[in-house]
Amino acid sequence: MNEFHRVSVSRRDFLRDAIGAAAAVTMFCMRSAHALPSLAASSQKVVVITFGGGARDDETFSVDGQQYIPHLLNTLAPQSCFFTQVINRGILGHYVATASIATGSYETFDNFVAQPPAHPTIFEYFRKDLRRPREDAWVVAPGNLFAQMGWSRDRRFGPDAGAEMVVPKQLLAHALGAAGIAELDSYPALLRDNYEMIPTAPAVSAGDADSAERLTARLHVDAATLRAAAANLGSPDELSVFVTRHIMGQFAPSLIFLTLHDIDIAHSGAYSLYIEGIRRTDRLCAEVWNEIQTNPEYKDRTSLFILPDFGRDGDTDSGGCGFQHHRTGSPSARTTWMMALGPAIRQRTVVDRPIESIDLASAIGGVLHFDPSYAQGKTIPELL
Amino acid sequence: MSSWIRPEAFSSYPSEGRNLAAKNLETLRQLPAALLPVFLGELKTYDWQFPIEQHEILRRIAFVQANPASVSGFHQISVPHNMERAENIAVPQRFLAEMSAYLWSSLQMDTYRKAAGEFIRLYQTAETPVTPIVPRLAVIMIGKEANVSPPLFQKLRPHGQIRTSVRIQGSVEAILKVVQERSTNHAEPYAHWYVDGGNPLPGVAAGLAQLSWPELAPMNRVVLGHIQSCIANGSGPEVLQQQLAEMPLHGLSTGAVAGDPRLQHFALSLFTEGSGTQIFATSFVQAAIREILRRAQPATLFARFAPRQRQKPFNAMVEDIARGSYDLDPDGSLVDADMAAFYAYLELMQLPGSAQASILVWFEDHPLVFVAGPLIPRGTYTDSPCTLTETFSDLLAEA
Repeated sequence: MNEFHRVSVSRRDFLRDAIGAAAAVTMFCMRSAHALPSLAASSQKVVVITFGGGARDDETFSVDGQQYIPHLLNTLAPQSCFFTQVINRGILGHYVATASIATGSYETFDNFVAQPPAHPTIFEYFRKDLRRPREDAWVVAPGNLFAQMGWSRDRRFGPDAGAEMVVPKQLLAHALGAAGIAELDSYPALLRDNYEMIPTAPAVSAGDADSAERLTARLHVDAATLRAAAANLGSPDELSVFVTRHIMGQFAPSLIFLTLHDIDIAHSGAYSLYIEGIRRTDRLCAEVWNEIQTNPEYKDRTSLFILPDFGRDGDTDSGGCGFQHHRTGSPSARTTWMMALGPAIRQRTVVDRPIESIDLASAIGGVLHFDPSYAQGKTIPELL
Repeated sequence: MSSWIRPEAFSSYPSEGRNLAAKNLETLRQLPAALLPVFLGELKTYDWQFPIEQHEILRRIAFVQANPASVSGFHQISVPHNMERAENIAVPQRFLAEMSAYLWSSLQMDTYRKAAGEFIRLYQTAETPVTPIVPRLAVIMIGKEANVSPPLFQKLRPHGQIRTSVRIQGSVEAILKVVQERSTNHAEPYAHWYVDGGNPLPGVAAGLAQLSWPELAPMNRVVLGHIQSCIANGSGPEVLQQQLAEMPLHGLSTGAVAGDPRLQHFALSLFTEGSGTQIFATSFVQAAIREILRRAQPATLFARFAPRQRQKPFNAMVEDIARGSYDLDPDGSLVDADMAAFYAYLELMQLPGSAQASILVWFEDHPLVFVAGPLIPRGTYTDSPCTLTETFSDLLAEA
């Protein structure tokens, strides 16, 4: 048993008992999306949630961690296809890792510089192959650093073929207005940043402001409404989910990529805040699933993928600081899990075979029927 | 042969480190480039390292000289020649950051990790570790002012005993007495430490190396000033890290570290290299425990957690710290400290003499204690009434 496998074993055994699932290796039979007559490709939708940023097994699907994820465990896992061993072999920085998931290739750019990824994104493949309008693919990003994740630097694709990007913090800052920027601290829970990136004011440039104004108008959410809603939300991720639900209601896009990030408070070293972030993220994942089940545009046609971008350092990793960071590149930091749900997905299945986080691009291509031709990730036949 | 490594490149190093570099220039030239920043970083800070660290540095250099094959794994890592420049020798922290970024972006971090693991294994196998002057003891107080009592010691429990009926009265005095006796009977520089996230307890022995978060506030405010400047001018986190790594100590002497350059540099490193240590008292104590155990390898460590400030936007927390006025989150701090106590135990078990080491964790002002040591049965629980003095007797036998 290698180190990566060892990390996944406890969650695998536990899950199998918990959901009564069979192992995909014993029940697996090839079934492509083409063989699902009731699930016509044109009506399929996909929502991706990165359970971010960076959550360990110890605080999620391990026996000790299950107390923090009651919604994932009791509500979502029993209907899911669960992958116990998802390995990220790339750079363990949140933006570059999340972009790698979106491109299906390990990106190698500077994690701290806002820029489009080098490889084409799933949003570009999706829009180009299926000739979809921009508003059919959305990325909800946790901060300015992620603001160009919706398209690539690949000249065969690029911004015109990319997703609609929204940074909810920018929207809120715009709603507050220039005069109201001083009121930011009136929304303490929503505008806090993680401790790996230096925080900057949410809307810092004329371009950002224009973009926020355009998006605010497109979303039909006036400043007063946004401010009123924001006052009752408890964290940046809650704001992101609020905006995501609004997007689902307004545009019903076929492809949504929601990046949650509250968990990355772990960098501050406060374990209680890290746990609080995991509990909140668990609840928000269930809220998105409930939205999918209650929104007629999404019900019975949506696949939901939930996965952390990567883990965090193990308690005993040499040179590490345990849960606080993800610097060692150890199996604990590289190995995580993925949950897939929806009518197109094989349910009550636990897959032990190791996959990589970049394999998700091909999986989404399989569900939505586009070809991520330049992605390096492999297909995941157990899913469908 | 790395001929670009010349003696004059070390001119900015403090004297002892510079001399050591000059003496071992050929060894440095033989080192694989990927490993070089680590050795340079140790030489640059050699003058301020604790005695046990200096001893380890000398041993590691001698080991590499005698066992060049021990670093062979690092030779498999390709490093661009443009990193081989004199200014990287002058500022090894920047060199290390640059190398780290390169290893990640070139997807060679796993190779590096494997090579480092093999080097450490070979080194530890060949070298006899330095055992402490007396079996190590860590005493940690957690939960000051906490109003709730979540299940504590869940991660620690398999390693020792939970005692639920420890007499509260006299417990602080019992801790101070044990710590004082050890520091008096086994006096040695940097062998006995006291760290506090709040104001220091009265009556702490003078012979201890001491750090307290409130006393270091002036130093912290200077670091926070740098952070705020970086935020204001839009510098990225990498620039900030470099600036903090190169921050001079001048004018930052404060509190109990005044007059001790080693302690001053150590305290400054907790703020400049730590994450969250500038804004959360709990993160400061957690980082201090880890670094003291890893670096100073003390015989005695007494650490006390105090409540951290409640979470707010980063800028607001920085301003509140600078003002010295903030809301506290004692209940969350208890959870933080409980985890930190577990990490303290893990660190303690990594040190030489771990089989004889002991730890006591007390939920302050509550009758709840966790103890682990060679004389304590693991995974056990007792509600028999006892005092902390009696608990120390059980833990240390000779106390």
